[in-house]
Amino acid sequence: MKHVPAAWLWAGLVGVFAVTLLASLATGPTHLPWSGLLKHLVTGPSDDLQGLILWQIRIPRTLLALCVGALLAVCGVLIQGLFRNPLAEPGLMGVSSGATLMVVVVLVLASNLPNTLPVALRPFLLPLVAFGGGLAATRLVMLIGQSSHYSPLRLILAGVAFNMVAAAGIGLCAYLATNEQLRTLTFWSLGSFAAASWSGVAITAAVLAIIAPLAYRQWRPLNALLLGESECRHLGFDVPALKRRIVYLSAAGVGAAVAFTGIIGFIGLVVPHIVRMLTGADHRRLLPLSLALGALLTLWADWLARSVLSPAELPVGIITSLLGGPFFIYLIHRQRGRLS
Amino acid sequence: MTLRADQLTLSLLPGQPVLTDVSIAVAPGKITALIGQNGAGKSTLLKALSGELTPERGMVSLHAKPIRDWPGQDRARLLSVLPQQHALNFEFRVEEVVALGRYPHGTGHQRDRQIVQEALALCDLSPFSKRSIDDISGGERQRVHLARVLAQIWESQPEGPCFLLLDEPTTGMDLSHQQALFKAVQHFARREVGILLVVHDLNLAARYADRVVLMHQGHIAEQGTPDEVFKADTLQRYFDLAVTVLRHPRHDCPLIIPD
Repeated sequence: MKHVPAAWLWAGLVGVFAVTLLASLATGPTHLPWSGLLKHLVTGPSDDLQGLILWQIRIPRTLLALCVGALLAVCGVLIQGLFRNPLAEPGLMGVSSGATLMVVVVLVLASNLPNTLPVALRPFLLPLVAFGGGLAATRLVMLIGQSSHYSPLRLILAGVAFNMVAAAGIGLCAYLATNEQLRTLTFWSLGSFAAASWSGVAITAAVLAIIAPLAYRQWRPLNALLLGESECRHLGFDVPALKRRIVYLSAAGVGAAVAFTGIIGFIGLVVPHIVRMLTGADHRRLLPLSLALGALLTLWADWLARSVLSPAELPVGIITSLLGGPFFIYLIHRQRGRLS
Repeated sequence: MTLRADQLTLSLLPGQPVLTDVSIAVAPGKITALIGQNGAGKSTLLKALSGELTPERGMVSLHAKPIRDWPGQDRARLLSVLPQQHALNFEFRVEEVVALGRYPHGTGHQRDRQIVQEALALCDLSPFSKRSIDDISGGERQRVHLARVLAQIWESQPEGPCFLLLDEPTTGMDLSHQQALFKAVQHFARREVGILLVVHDLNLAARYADRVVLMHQGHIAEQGTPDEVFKADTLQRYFDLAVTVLRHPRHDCPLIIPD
C-alpha cells in the first residue's frame, strides 16, 4: 500500500480537529447555538446557563476525551511495539482489568471507604484506586511472565491468565452488588466521559504531558525492537531496560485513562493500525500521529455516544467496541498471511 | 586488536554443553568461515562472540576488553551481527530497515542517508529502496538485512577495526547474489573489517575465506587455510560424506565435489 506523506496527514488532522472540537462543544441535551458557543468561548467562564454548560460540562468532557484518547493510542503503539505484534493492545497486560477490579472491590466490598475520607479527597479515591490497580496488575503480570528475560509470549499468557482471574473477581463483586452499585459498575466496565471534571482533565493532561515525550524518545529503540530482541541488542540498545520502560509507561498511561473514564476498548488497538496503514511502521511518525488520531477518534466516539439516543447517552465503550470489533476482524483478515 | 573467544564452555540446557573449550580469534582484514554439520555449535559460538549468550567458563573480548564491559552503543559501532532468522511483522520500507543500521552512530541525517543509499547500491537493492519489506522476495529480504548490518560498520572507528558476524548470510539467495555477497564481504575485509561467517556451501568458503574453522560436536575440530582444512579425509570424517577434492580450474582454491 502506498504511504501518505506525514505532512498531509497532519494538515488533514488539524482541519478535522477544529470542526470536531466545535461539534463536540455544541452537542448535548441542551443545544448551544454557534453564535452563543463562540461568544462564551471568547469571553471565558460566566454564570449564565449556556456559559456554565460550556465551561463546566462540555469543555472538560471534550478535553478529557482528547487526553484519554491520546493516552490510549500512545500506549497501544508502545504495547504493540513491545510485543512486536500489531494485534496486541494495552488490555492484554491486565492494566484495564486490574484497574476495574480494584474499583469494583472498593465500590462493593468497601462502600464505606469514601465516607472516611475528607470531602475534598473523595472525587480522587476511585481514580487513584484504578491507577493503583492498573500498576499492581502490570507488576504482577510481569512477575508471572518473567523468565530469564521478559518474553513477549510469556507476558501475553500471564496477561490472559490475570484477565481471567480479574473477570471472575469482577463477576463475584457484581453478584454481591446492590442495584445502585451495579449502575456504577456498568459505568466502569463500559466507559464514559459523563463524569468529566476539570480535576480529571488536569490529571490526565499532566500524565499525557509526561508520558508522550518519554514515549517519543523511545522511537529508535522501538523501531529496532521490531526486528527482534537480538537485533535490538546488536544495534546497541539495552533491551531489558527498554521493555521495563515500555511496560511502566503504558501501565501509567492506561491506568490514568481508565481511572477517570472506565474501560474504553479498541482505541489502543485500532488507532496505531490505521496510522501504520497510512504512513508505515516508523515510530518517529507513528507515535505523534497516533496520539492525534487517538484523540480525534475518541472525540468522535463520545460525540456519537451523546448524539445517537439524545437526550440520553450511551456509554462510549459500547461505541468504540461496536466500531472496533468489526475493524479488528478486518485486521485479522488482512494479517492472515503474516500471522500464520 | 581482535574479537576473540578464549576457552569458552557454554550450555543452553544444564549439563549439556553446546560449546566445550572453544578458542577462536577473528582477525581484522580477514574472512573466517565457520563450517560444520547442523548442531555443531556454530550459531551458538556466534551468539557468544556477539555477547548475546554468556559462557559458563571462558571469556569473549573485543579489543582486549571483555565484551560484557562494552557499553551497548559503543559495542554496536564496532560489531555488527546478522542473525540466521528475521521476523519483521511490520510494514517497513526497505530503506528504513537499512537505516536502522545507523542508529548506533551520531553521524547526522545527511551522512546516514548517504551511507544507506551506498549500502543499498552495494547489495543491488537501489530499485527496491521505497518498497515495503513485505513486497519483496525472501532472498531480497536477506539482502536488505545484509545491507543493514553493512551500514552499521560502514565507516572505520577510532577504537579500532570493526567486526562483522554473519550467520548463514546466503540463505535464500540465488547464485549470482551469493557471489555478490562474498565480493561485498571481501570489499569490507580490505578495509580492515574482521569477518566471521557461518556457511554451508563449502566451495564458497574455499574460494573466499582466508581461514576456515571446522566445528564438530561443540569443539573446534580443524582450523587453517582452505587448503589445510578442505581435505577429502577430513571432510569425510566430520561431515560423514564421501567427497572428492580437486583444484578449481580458474581460481587457485580447492573444489569440493560430493561423490
